[in-house]
Amino acid sequence: MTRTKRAELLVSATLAAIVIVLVFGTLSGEEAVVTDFGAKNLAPSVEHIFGTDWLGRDMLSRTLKGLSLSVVTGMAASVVSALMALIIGVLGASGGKRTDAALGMLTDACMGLPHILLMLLISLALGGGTYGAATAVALTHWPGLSRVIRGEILQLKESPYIKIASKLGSSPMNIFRNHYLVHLLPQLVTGTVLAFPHAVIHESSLTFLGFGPGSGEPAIGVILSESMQYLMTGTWWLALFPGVSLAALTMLLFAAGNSARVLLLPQEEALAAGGNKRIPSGIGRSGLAKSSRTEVNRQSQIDDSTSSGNAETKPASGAVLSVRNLTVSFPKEDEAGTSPGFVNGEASGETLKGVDADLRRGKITAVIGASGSGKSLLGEAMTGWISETAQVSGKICLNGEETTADRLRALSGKRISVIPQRLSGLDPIKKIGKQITRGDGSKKALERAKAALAKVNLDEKLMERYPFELSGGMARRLLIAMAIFDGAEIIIADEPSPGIGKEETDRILTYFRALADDGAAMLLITHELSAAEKYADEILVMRSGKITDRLSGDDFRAGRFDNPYTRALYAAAPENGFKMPEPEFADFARGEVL
Amino acid sequence: MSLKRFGVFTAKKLIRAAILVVVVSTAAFALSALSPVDPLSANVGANALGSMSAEQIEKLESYWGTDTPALERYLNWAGDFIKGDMGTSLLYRMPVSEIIGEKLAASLPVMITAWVLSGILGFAIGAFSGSRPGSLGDKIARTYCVVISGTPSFWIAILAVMIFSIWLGIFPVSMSVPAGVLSDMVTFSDRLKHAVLPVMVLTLTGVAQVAMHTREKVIETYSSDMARYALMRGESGRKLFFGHVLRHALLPAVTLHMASLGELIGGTVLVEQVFSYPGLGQAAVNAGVGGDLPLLLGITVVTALMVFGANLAADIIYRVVDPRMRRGGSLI
Amino acid sequence: MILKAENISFDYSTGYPCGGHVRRKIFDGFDFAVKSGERVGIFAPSGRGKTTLCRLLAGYLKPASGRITLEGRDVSSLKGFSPVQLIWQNPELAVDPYMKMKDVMAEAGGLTDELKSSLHIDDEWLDRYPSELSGGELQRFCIARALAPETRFLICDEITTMMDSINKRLIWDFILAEAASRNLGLIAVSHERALLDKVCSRIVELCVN
Repeated sequence: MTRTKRAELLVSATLAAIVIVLVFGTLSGEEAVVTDFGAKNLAPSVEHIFGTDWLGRDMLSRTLKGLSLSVVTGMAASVVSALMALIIGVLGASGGKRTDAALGMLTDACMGLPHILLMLLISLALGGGTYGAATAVALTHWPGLSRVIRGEILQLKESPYIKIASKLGSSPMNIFRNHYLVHLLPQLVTGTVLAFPHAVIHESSLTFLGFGPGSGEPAIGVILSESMQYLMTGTWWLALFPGVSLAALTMLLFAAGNSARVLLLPQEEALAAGGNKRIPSGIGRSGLAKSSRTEVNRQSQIDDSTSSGNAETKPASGAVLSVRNLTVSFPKEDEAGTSPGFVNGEASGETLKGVDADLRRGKITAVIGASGSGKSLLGEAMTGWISETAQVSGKICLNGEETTADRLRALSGKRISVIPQRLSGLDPIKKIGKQITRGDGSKKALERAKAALAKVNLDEKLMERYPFELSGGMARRLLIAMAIFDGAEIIIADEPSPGIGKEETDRILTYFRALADDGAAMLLITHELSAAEKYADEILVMRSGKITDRLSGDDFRAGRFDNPYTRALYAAAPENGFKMPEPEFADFARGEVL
Repeated sequence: MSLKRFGVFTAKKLIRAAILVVVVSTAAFALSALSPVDPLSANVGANALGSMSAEQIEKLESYWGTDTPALERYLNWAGDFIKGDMGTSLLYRMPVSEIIGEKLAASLPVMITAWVLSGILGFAIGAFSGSRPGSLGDKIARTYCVVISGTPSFWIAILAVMIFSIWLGIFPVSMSVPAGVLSDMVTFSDRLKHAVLPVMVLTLTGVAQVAMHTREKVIETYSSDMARYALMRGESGRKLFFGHVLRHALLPAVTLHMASLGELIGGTVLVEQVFSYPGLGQAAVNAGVGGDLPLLLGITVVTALMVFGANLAADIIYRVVDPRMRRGGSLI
Repeated sequence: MILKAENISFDYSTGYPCGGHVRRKIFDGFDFAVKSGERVGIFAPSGRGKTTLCRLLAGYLKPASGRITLEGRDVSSLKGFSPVQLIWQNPELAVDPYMKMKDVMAEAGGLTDELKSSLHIDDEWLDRYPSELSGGELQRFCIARALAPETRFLICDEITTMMDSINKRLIWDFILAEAASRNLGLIAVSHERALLDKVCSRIVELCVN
């Protein structure tokens, strides 16, 4: 069952339950108070499902009546508190600094007292009873929701799309209607619905303490409070059934509240449902991040399946890591029935179709392509870190021997290293030294770490600093240093120059060349031909999941290439003429990464 | 962080605390003054009142303060409060500060134990759950939290009494010490036995919020770029958790849990009522019902300061422990 | 028409990638002007304030001193559809995640068939939410949005930085054609000197302040 269907079911069930409680509660008004001394303290039976109390009153009727009372006061209280939250939240966010400060102080004061005490005081002030308790609950529930609303409005005010809207000529009224309302309404409705069960719990608690309806009314709090006096006499049903009923009602209301959220925010559902496509197996819905799991995931194991007619070429000699006829695809739609979402901005529409590639010691193999061409996916496949939902076929060989994704993953950080595109891979609150050595405090490790830093011209004093103290360029060099520390044989470098200038790109590429010269087999993934041009030993050009061209770096640098797509890519670069591509290549690639 | 900055920080916080005390006490006083509850009827009883002379009633009125206007009473109280005198409890006929001290001594051990236990347990459950989302263990943990959050805590306390005290007979039904025993004959183990159930109920209910919040944070951390990169460096399982995930989840959990003192106090009020445990909670309820204004005010102010203190502690911990705040930003 | 920045100064608190802050004065007595039909490039290495300048010129920010004017009127206080349109660097932030793409376009007055075909925008995409499209696809929507009929000046903030060369060429081909046929003033901001050389008739370098 999809989340949406489940949510709809829960909401309907809750509404039904509320109606039942209200109807039967009203109907059993009489029975709830009628005493019958002939039926005192009867244990639950067919006639009295919840038993009777010391006055012979039927507990089921009393419970239903009490619940319906709670439901009514709860609903009223949650609506009132939601309205208050809305007003105060909006005023705070848009009423100017002083208003915000004053309201902030009010909110702090309200939250500064334990909730029960505050309600107690208010109920006292109003003389207790149903009215006192209900008002106390209604007047004290706003702080949480008001903060949420205030926060949401403040965030919206600063959002680029709101500012853009006014530059597009949208009137404030339209901006309010099309943006603010759409963002706030779900929060407000969810907040109101969730306030309901809280209100019920608080009201019954207040009543239990004696600050609500008195013993005349069959309020749940009263029932439970009175039942305590008789617990020792063995009449356990007096406390159990009313309590269970109350708990069941509130739990149902909470579930409905969360379901309301699911129903009101279909966009968030699309995000949540499709968003897990590219998380490498081992993280995610069904896995603790253990790469040493012996159980092999059937889908992500790369097996020697029947290839579709292509002659299987033997892995080139001297190749450390090779793929042959590698084909990867992802299922089109997930259970929610929405189109696949995206993780980290990468298109889950990427595929690989019969790809052959070799990584050799001391050589840089560059993979060029637009985003969506499959170049990132190739890198992932070579590390073994591919999503659980991927459908994979083909062969991967390590040092000439066929291997599996699991075995590749086990080599992470030992024989295979990745230099990621984004700096967010660094743990901001862990000391750099510790991150490089992965917690290994031995002298050898520390020396190796310092040496690695030195190779990328970073001072060893940085070992004691944190990543957030580094500039972008330094952080990028740190990532390279970490690969150096690992002493990896195989390095997958993803986008050396994500939006940084030529100078810095060159510097990074020089480090990469040095790594290769020291013996590493490197895969360089990039969208820019110029990045590959300088130091690549082999260049693979990819488009729509296939390798369209394969040439040596020397040939490329000498201009000895005639593949039409490669020529188009080359000629289109600004520094090479900025030529328009031939019509056959003049369509936008699916899913560009920005 | 410089001494000057620290000084400014402390001063700002002290001012906030003072404002809080003023606002809370004013509100509490105003609310109690509005109350139609007549302390005379509440404490002396309508029957007794009926048979008293006008003179006696006058004396009572003067005692209970119903003959002086509210504002005057508040100012008297405030004036005394600043001097450190919280007045005399009308119900217990002892100085308020003494009563509060006594009640705190009974409530605090229970509260603090429950607070620490629920924090540790909640964090562990949340971390466990977040590390294996969708698994059976996670489902059980989540169901537990949903059920607990959805159930009134006083009923859980009642259940505890029914099961452990009455049915199984393991723990005493109520009070903090055995009934009918002279106070100097009460042993530590006696006190312990009476405290077990209240602590247990408060712990069980206090776990849910921290657990669910930690679970979210852990899941978030595991799906972050940072976790992905760590995996690609061969850090997995234990290493990934203790080396990265734990620290990212710990600080928010501690901050959240410290800030939940308010809820804990609220829970204590209810639990003490069920167990007839003579702590601060019960005293507050009695003061409320009985119109004992000085005691009620005193308790209100004290609890407000406790909540403030807990939030302050959370704030300080955050600023001191998170290296981004230490090195990069300012304390204020 | 002339879009002018006169003697502006602006300072800014910038952040390092993983936290931490530094306060920096970005502009001090800076002058700049663009005419309709002109193609001006703004070149500077990353982090030197290019984005801030874009936002100042488009009226999203006010300078600490000096004025930014379009035909004498302050750009930040123009009412209605602003003739100076900025295409933001991150398209994911430039659209409301709760709005379907067709409504996003409606806010700018709709999407003409011409623009739709030139930018290869699928009809099916109009019914999707931003999270269901890739960055590149979203950016094309943003470009279409910025090219509403009332636009007179177009500011492009690093819009093709992460694209491969073919897509880069295609996008700029489209933008240059639009700018030429409508006599728009074009401001292109990038750290890629070669690109600016090809696209612009004049380049302004931002010096380190």
